[in-house]
Amino acid sequence: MKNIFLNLFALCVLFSIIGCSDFLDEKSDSRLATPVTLEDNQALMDRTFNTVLSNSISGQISADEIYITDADYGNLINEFEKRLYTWQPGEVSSSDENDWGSCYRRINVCNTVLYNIDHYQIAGAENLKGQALALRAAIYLEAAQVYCLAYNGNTANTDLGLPLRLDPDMNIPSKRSSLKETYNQVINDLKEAATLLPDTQIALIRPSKATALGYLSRTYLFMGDYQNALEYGKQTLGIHNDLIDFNTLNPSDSYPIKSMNTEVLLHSSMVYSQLLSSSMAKIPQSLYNTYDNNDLRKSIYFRLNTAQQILFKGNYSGGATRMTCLATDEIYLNVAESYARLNDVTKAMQILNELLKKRWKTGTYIPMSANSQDEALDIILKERRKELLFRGLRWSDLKRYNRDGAGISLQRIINGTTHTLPPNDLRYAIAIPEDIIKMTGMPQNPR
Amino acid sequence: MLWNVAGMKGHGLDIELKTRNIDKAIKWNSIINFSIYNDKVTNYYLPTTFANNFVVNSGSIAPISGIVGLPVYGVFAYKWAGLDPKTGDPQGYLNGEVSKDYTKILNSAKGIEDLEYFGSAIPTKYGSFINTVAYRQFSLDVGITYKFGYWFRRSSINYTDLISSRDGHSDYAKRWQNPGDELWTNVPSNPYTTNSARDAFYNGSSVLVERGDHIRLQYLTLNYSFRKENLANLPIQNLQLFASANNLGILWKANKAGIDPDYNWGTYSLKPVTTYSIGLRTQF
Repeated sequence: MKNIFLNLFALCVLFSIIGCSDFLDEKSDSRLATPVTLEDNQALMDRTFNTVLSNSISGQISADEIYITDADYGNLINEFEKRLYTWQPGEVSSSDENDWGSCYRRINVCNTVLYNIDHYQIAGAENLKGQALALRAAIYLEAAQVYCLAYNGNTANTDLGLPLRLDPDMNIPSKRSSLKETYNQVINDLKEAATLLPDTQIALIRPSKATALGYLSRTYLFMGDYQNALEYGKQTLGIHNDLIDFNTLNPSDSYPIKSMNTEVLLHSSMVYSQLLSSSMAKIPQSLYNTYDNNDLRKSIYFRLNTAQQILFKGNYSGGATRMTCLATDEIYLNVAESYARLNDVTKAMQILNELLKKRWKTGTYIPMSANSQDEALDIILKERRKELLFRGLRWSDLKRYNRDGAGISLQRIINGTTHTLPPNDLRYAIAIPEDIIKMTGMPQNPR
Repeated sequence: MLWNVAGMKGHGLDIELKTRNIDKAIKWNSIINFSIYNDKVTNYYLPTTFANNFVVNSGSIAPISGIVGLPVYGVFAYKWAGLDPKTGDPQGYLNGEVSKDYTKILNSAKGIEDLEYFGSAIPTKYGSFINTVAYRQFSLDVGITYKFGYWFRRSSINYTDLISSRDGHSDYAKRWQNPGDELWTNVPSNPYTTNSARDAFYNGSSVLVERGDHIRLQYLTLNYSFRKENLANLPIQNLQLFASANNLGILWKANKAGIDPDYNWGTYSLKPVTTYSIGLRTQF
């Protein structure tokens, strides 16, 4: 009798041990989902707020595309926008939501998806992996434009880059890589993505092969590697080279250029900023004056307010949202500039003319030509500035032009005080949020 | 995360006393509840220690201070150096010097060194005092509650909110307008422009911190119980007529600003209204 009880007891213990493994598999909360399937992880990438939307605003606020009046300045709710606008050396981030946090939040989504694909051995995930790699690279490139100086091949080994977080594990300490390592990461990820991605995607919120190649062209252009900028630009246009004919747009629309139009390679937008809002950010008269009256951009990009100040309405969003879309018009300009830098003036002007004839009133555009490399570059860079307004690119362009000796000095006058940003100033690398520096012990951008 | 980020220790004492103060034709019974509560941070591993991390603007619960040896929820404020007699700008201290560099004061990396510490943000002594006085068929219940030993931050004018969302405050009437006003007011002048750092400094400054101590009259209830013999013809056990009033307000408070510290969380929090009720209570 005693033995039977003993055996039963042993059996019970055995069962309870077997039961244990089930118990451990149980989720602590039934609402917790583990994204183990392809669909789940694609859904993570498709949640646009955490991927392609909420792009950085710091560069756009700091660049010379826009200005605000003293009265506008006096209406700014957030101190950090005032400080960014006047190029203060530090305390230029909101303490709750800022570009740094937004970049690394989006990077973390990509890292999570890449980890899941590998960890759960998800089959058929080439496309998804390509999306995550391409997007992560695009975000690192975006963050480098805000928080790092221009890429300079001679000093990139020692210049401060970004902490390269490639794993969703938040216990890994953050350390700043060199600028060379940062750009290498971007390039390698984009190149790998290009081999995994289909030429086009079913939706423009997903990076395609054309997107990855387009970003490669942009990255190499920023680095001053014009041979590669040209090569990848041409490959991008080989997949997709559509341009909007501005003659088909209606300049009297409040926002004439529609969202996800035929030029867009990746749909992405800036986070809302009061300073950059449609009624506050103003375009300098001198820039507006560079548009010919037959140039349709003059009426499609701009509107005048009651005080006859110039406001921008040419967002690739069909609305007030400021876009940072990668689009074919930028690639045309990358290719044209690269040709010019490589001293192929004829081809440079040819591709620029292809773009501009879609921007002018039908029959009015006289193709431009240049007699020298300098003249071609001069024309192309002016047209680049006129075409790519409010796309978050001017800040990067200012950095690289100054790196190459353009000597562009920026100036703002607010309430009688003049603020100046000399060429190649260290403030071209915007201060990393102070709490991040304090928490991680990483070096702040020098001042 | 794989580790705890902090450690704390709390201790307290609850006392309940029931007394019969008078036990004759008039009966007076009391129940006294008295609690003491103290806690303190014993470990804290998060290194963020900017001044503004310890100060949250008016109308919010105090943030966890994370200073070892101090209460978990403590009230800190920017040190106050008065209003600038020329402009009515609020002034604080930066590295021991009078300063108007609000962004630097808010982001001072010295943490609590540049701040004034008041004490716990939650009551450390509290309880209730409930009395019942009975005479013949009448009885009167008086409920009193009290909270002592804590601090709170009151709200005041925030000019950025005023400009951006027309969210005002009655302190606007007391603002500095002319030189000399700084002698009787601490409310900064209207800058006619946004300066969120200036507003954050003033709203987190020591002049807006008040003692929370107060005594509250929670309720009064008057009962009349009918005699059992009068109910003989009715199918009921007992019958009471009562009149009561709830949320009667504060009997005494330490702050001179006229603010009920229990209903100071958030700009829009309202005191509960006083309710009156009369009724019949019976058991079958």
